[in-house]
Order: sequence, then structure tokens, then C-alpha cells
Amino acid sequence: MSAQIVRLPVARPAGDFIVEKVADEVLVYDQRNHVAHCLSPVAALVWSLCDGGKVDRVRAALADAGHKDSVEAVIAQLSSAGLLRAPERVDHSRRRMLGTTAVAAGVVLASPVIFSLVSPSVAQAASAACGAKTQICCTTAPKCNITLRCQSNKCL
Amino acid sequence: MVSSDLRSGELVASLLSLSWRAAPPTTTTTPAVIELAISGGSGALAHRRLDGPLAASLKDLVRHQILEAARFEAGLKSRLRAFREAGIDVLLVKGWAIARRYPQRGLRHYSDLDLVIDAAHRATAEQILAAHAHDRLETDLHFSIPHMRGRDLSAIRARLVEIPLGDVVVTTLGDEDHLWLLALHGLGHGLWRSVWLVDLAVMLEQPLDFDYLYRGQRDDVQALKISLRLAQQVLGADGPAHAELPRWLEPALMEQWGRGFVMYEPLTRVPSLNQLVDDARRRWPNPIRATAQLGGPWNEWPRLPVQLLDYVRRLARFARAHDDPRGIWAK
Repeated sequence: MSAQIVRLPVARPAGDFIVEKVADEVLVYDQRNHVAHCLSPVAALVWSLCDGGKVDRVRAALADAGHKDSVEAVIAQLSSAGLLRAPERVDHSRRRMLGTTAVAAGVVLASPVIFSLVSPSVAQAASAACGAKTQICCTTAPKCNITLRCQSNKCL
Repeated sequence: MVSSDLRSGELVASLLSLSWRAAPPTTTTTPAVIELAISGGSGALAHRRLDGPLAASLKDLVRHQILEAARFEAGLKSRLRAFREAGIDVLLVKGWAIARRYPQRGLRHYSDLDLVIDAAHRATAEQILAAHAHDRLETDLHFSIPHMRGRDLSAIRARLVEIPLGDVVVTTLGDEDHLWLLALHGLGHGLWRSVWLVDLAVMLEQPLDFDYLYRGQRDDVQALKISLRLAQQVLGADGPAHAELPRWLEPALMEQWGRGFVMYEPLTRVPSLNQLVDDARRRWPNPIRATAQLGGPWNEWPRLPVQLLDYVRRLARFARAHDDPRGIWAK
């Protein structure tokens, strides 16, 4: 069990991410490491409140929304997903970005609260033009056009 | 006897039928057919027609495509901003320009941005794209609008459309010109990605000026009509029929969709007759691609000569491009 914390960590800057709200989930693309995550409503709520302030108001917000999960457990997952930074600096933009819809929705907690998205298959990502000169499209297996060869992950 | 590929392809077609509509009817299928739909770029479209565990199996893919759409939109905006600051006019084709016609964001996956610019700006444009490499969004520069042989460029320019996107404006082709491009592009690749035919279905259901649409070289017009008829017959798209399909065409497409995506090793040498035969078997062009590459004809004649000619042309192209063709053929 996680030890109880008093102050919240701080979320990384909003500019690091592309965020899409879809129904009751929040999809997050980390532009720094190119990893995508899916946040449950409770994870999105906690993330939106991670501004270095007191943790009590997050506990209250979770309770109001009917969530029974410990803030510490959710924060541990947010941290593990690399969505948080050191607590010295405060960023208010994330709260603006995500708003408070997760609280209003009163949605049920998914478990785990965060999971990384699986990339689509190679075929799904492939384009017919893939394999053209200088395209980076042979990282997993060579598939350059017949006239080209795969060198350093590029079709040349 | 019906081949298993043909049957699988038909099941993919059935799954994708009407999938682009606002409220497509629910259906059921098998995980194998779903995989084939995914490999054709149509996973999210398949998701719209399914429910229960089958739909759940596609949820991650749908999430991924929604994020990808957001990423590409952000990347498109930042690129267009930079081009605008550099005084370069940009025309966007395919990708975002067709995805916007689908009823939901992320429904139509695309994997690059196709930007058409004046060749005089090539160096600056490449610098701009290099400065955007950090977001890992593939961008293809074109210096003329692809597949527009025989079309009236002044008419194309007059029909360009401008679509606001945040603080930028996206310039793209009018619907008829875009449909022309999408059809010839898809046919040129044998329509192996099912989503390409869905694109045609989506565009066919827009209000179109068919008189303008069918202006161009005769073989291209015939190919376009054939592809639209295919979208109607295979996917149930609405619209007037302007061609009859040769009997080999639909089964050929179903076979292709039923095989799914196959990643081939590039041919780097021609080592032996056995390996050449094996290569020919694996790379044997589908009849749609071969016919499109040779400019038709889309008739009832056997496709074998067309496929053979296309395969030989590809081999010759490979041999010409290789560092030392004499060395290859000597082995």
C-alpha cells in the first residue's frame, strides 16, 4: 500500500501532450516519448488537479464523484506513465485543458486507471506510398518498393 | 469452387458495407475478418458495425486513430503556419482532406501528409519539414497534383476549396477532382486497402458534378467509372451507375482483400530460377493493379497477359535501378 501523501505532485506542461476527450476517457499522446495513454475518468481527474497543491481537495473531489480509490495509487500510476514532474513548479494549464467534466460525469472507475495504447498493426499504419524513396517505413522488416533498398531504416 | 480468400474478401466487404454512414446497421463477423479489415485500413469502420466483445477488441485501435488524427491535425496546422510565413502556397490532398468527410474523427486513418507546392520552393519547403521532424509525422512533398494527366488545370484551380482549421486555412481539391485523384491512386495500387474503396463510396455520396468529373483522358475516365461502380456494387454506395464491371474485377478485389496485407522482402538480387519463380508467385500483380498500371482496358479479356506485362515491367525497373544489373543477372 502506498504511503499517504500531503501535497500533490505537478503534472508535466500541457504543451508536452496531445489530449483528446472521448466519451468518459481521456486519451493522451506524450509528444516527448511518443507513447499514448488512455486515462480513466478518475486518473484524468487526478491528473488535472496535479498542481502541487494539497492532496485533501483531490480526496474530496474523488469522494464527491463516488470514487473509492486512493489518491496515492492513482498518482503512482500517473507517475509510472511519466505524466508527472517534480513538485517544485506549478502548471495550471492542465486543469484548464481537461476541465472538470470527469467530476461532473460521476463515472465509474476503470481498473487499471491508466493503460498504454497498443499501436495499430503494421499494415494499418502502412500506406501504399510507403516504400517510396527516403521514407522511413522499413523499421520492422524491409518493405521498400522494388526499385529501392532499405538502408538505415530508409528506402534508398 | 470459391477460394477461401475470395470468401474472406466478401466477408470484409459485407462488414464494411455502409460503414461510413451516420448510423450504420450492426452486424457480426469473425476475428479473422476483423484482422483483414484492419490490414486494409478499415478497422475503425468495422468497429462502427459491431457490438459486444468484437467491438471491444477494436477499442484500442479506435482510440489510437483518434489520437493519430489529433496529432496529424496539430502537425498539419504547424506546417501550414510555417509555409504561410515563408510565403509558400500549399495544396493538401488525400489524408486529412478525405478523412474530414467521414462522420467521426479518427474513423479514416491516414499515415502521412501529402502537400503539393510549386517546385521553385522545394529547398525552403524541405527546410520547413526538417524543422518539424520532431513530431514524426511523415510528410510527402509533391510538385504537381498527382494523377491529373488530361485534366484542365485552370478548372482544377478554380474549384479549389479552402477549409478553416484553427488559425490556418487548408486548401484542397474540389470534390470532383479529389474523387478523380483518389480513384486513380487506389486503382494504381490494386485497391488492396479496403479503406480506399470506402473513400470512393464516401465521395460518391456527396453532391457531384458528373459532367465535370468525367472530363479527362478516355482511359482514366473509364478507370474512374469502373472504380465508382465497384464502390456501389461492393460496398452499397449510392449514386448513378456509369459503367458495367468486367466479370473478373469484383472477384479479383475480393481475393485481394481476403489475402490481407503481405509484407514482402525487397528483391535485391536475382539469385536463381527457383527463387525468381518464388518471387514471381509472391509479387504477382493483382489484375486490378496491372490493368491500371497499363492504362486498361477494363474489359472481359483475360488478365494474364496484362499481369505478365506488368510483372516484367517491374522487374525491368528493378534491374535498371540496381547498382550493377549485369552482376545480378549473371548470378
